[in-house]
Amino acid sequence: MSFGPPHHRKDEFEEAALPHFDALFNLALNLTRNRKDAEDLVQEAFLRAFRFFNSYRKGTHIKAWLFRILRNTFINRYRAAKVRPTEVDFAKIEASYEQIVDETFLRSRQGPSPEDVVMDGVLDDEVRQAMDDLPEEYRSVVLMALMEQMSYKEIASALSIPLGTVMSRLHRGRKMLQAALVSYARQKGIFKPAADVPSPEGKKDPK
Amino acid sequence: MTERPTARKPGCREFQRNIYHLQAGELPDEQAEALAVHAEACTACAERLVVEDAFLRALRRKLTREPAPPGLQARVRSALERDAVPATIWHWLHAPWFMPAAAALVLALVLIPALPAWDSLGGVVLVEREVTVVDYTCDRAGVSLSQQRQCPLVHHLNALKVGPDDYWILTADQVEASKLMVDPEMRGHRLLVEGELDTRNHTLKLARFADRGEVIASALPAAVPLLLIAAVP
Repeated sequence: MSFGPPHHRKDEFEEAALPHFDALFNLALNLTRNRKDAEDLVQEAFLRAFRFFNSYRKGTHIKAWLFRILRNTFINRYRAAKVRPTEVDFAKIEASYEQIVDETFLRSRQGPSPEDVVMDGVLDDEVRQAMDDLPEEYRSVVLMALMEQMSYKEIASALSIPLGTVMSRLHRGRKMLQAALVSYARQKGIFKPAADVPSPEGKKDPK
Repeated sequence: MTERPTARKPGCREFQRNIYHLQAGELPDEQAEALAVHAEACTACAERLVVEDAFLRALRRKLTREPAPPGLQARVRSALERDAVPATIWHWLHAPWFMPAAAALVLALVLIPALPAWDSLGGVVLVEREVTVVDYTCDRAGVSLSQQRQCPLVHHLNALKVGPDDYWILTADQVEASKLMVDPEMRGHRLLVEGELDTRNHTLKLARFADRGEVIASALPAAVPLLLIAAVP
């Protein structure tokens, strides 16, 4: 058994780190896709962060620092083998997304809006599933950008990747996510013609 | 029926490529301004922006944080409480003489076995290897791995064992690797490590590592008050 930092540092640490508890839990859930593992991961990450608290430079983004520790803990403990980046056909994603957007939202004025799709066309579980289906590299970036509203610089710091990589992963990740949500909604029939019902959002006329 | 506008103008490609970054406010002012100007003139891109704005609004509303389960935070706080030491012990371990003494000891231990391996052509090589984390001094003295975890000598630092009488020491400047250097609980773990090895002094600049698990089961006796301290750099 070994010991960590002293008690007075613990109070300082808790004050700085606990406000980000829920955010860390959500990242853990996003990474492990399993509640039990997420809880264990959060606990272990907090302990590590506490042990390393001396190495945290005051005034810098503690959230990104905590996220990085949690992610490294995940990689060390829960991701068994070295994971190769997912083979994704980018050109295909882009083309497919263009087509979906065009067909679904732009071609007809009677169709649903993106808000209809996301808010009413899919259940919360389906949104979670669409997120979980994203390759891990994209999933983390999308979560940090959309749910946590972190800046690109903070995301780059949290994931130890260059800024350019954050940008391309967000770009592709959002397209993949949005395409998936549209196709879930389509399967459930949100796109049935409803000519008599005025669109709830009052879509802007691009002309 | 009017023809659908297509995104073919010069500038459309750049606009579509940067649309999400524009939304995030992450583009330099000049670039953001130029794209806004383009959207005013280009119907196709303006339409796309409307769609993406709607998606962003909706996703931000839908992707809300789930609250952590009740009790988890309390459990974490108890764990931190158990981990923290009374100030007096901590200060003694971090007395000004302590770390330099420990560092000097490690340096001496590293140099002595390294001398015969001096390679005049030696330098830095990239390595990727599975290693075992050990207590450097104890392991060289023949102490078993399970006993190494219980070694009470606080100045014993860890090393990465590559093979019989072949050890790598981690460079001290690496913050995230410092846990590997000092944590007795890491002894007995097999790691796959990647990094730059200085073959002259067997120091490894760690790029990344993966924990492959424990060679030995954790078998600490329950009620032994152990004075092993994690020296935080």
